[in-house]
Amino acid sequence: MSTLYEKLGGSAAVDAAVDKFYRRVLGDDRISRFFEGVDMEQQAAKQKSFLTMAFGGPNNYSALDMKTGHVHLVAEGLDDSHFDAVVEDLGATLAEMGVPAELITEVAAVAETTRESVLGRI
Amino acid sequence: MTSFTFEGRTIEAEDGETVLSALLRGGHEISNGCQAGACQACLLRSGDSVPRAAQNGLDDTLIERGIFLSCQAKASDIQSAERLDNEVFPRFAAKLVDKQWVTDDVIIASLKVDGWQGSPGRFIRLHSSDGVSRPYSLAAPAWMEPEFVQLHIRYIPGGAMSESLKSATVGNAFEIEGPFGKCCYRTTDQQEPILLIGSGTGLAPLYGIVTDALRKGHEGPISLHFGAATSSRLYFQLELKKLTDQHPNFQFHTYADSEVLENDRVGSPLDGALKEHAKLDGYKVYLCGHPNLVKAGQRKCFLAGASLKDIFADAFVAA
Ligand SMILES: Cc1cc2nc3c(=O)[nH]c(=O)nc-3n(C[C@H](O)[C@H](O)[C@H](O)COP(=O)(O)OP(=O)(O)OC[C@H]3O[C@@H](n4cnc5c(N)ncnc54)[C@H](O)[C@@H]3O)c2cc1C
Ligand code: HEM
Repeated sequence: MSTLYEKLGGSAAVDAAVDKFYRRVLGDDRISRFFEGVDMEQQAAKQKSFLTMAFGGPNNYSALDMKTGHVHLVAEGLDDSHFDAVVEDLGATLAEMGVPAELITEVAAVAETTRESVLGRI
Repeated sequence: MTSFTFEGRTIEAEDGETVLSALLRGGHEISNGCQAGACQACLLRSGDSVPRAAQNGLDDTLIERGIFLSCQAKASDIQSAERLDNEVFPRFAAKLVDKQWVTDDVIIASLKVDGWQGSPGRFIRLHSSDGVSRPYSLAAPAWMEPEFVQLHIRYIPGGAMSESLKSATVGNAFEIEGPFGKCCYRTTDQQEPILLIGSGTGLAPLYGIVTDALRKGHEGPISLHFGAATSSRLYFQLELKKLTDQHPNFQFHTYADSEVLENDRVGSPLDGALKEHAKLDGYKVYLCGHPNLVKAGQRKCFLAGASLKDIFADAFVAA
């Protein structure tokens, strides 16, 4: 039994998705403002952490880390609609890469487990 | 509150505080500079895993050894940290062998450094005999003997290193440390297009990279766009012109905001470069100079199709 992360192709899949996903996020008017001030190089590393997590891969972020990591964004108005937009962009990125629909559903479900902590409701 | 150990001692830190800030507050002497992740003066090492975002711009050999930017890592990211051994970045004795003013605000300094080797485009930390240190990029043209280092230094009136260099004379002693960063020619494919964009003395590393690429036989198109406030502050055009005569795959364009002379374009080198190179898929992109230009360039070049891993940048952030 391979894990979701292995089925997606592990860290190579993360590397392949980083540019595509981030370009989509920056081009998405619903959420791009949250990424305005963030250093591009740092963002590349953070996107990798995000994707690794969403792909069900190894990471050491706790729910509390997710809360504190986004608390300044929640203060700027981050809400469910933005969360939905990120999950949608992620799905579109994976579809563009030819990932089968059932795996995309699994990725969305993993991302969903972080909703309450990202939005600071825990 | 959070804590970590530093060379055997427990350091208490506020929530969200950086490793550097907690150490400085605790009275530890940690060298540091821009505190923005650009100058690499505050490197420490950790035996534990370190977030990659705190290792931006470090070359892979440093990353493997757990070396990180203490101004970028949060205290809560690490369990322990220590200072680097001297052999990670040994200091070299350097002697000023030539100094020229090429505009009213740019000094080109050449130093002889015994035992030195460093790729053009990366940067070093220059230490003056009066104890000032600042990062400068290596213009070191490929025709220079390896033990010579060439720096292009913008003179800022009243600036500590600017004044040291203004009064320095040939024969004066300095020290250099490094090289740091990863902004240098990277040969993955001799055919790939290279785009270089910069302002002011950002030309130094870009010139170093161009000469290195050409010497190593790069065959793909190399396009350099650089600007300054006025045409009179542009420099090195003759050297660049010489390169275009010898290498048909190399071309360059100069820009100025005001008092623009005939051969220069009006406006920003970034906009000019992107007008000419609208799609950057498969390009290597280098950005050096003013932090605003570099930041805007990273974003615009990425959105134009360059991969994040193919964009190399050094923002000349002040200490
Ligand atoms: C990675 C890296 C590479 C660099 N490479 C180069 C290089 O190749 N050539 C080069 O000339 N510089 C380069 N710099 C900038 C350089 O390190 C110094 O910051 C700069 O030379 C000023 O040092 P100083 O001691 O003369 O002035 P400081 O004593 O540090 O500053 C004096 C005053 O001038 C202000 N100031 C500093 N820089 C500027 C500026 N650019 N414009 C306006 N005001 C300023 C400061 O805020 C301060 O108020 C680089 C910086 C980094 C981080
Ligand atoms: C889908 C669930 C999400 C997960 C799993 C997630 C995960 C992460 C991770 C791991 C980081 C890096 C933290 C670090 O190392 O510092 C991060 C940072 C960030 N996230 Fe999210 N994230 C999610 C949703 C969102 C949403 C909805 C937005 C905004 C629309 C967002 C915007 C950001 C920004 C801007 C940063 C960088 C913060 C900074 O450095 O200032 N994230 N995220």
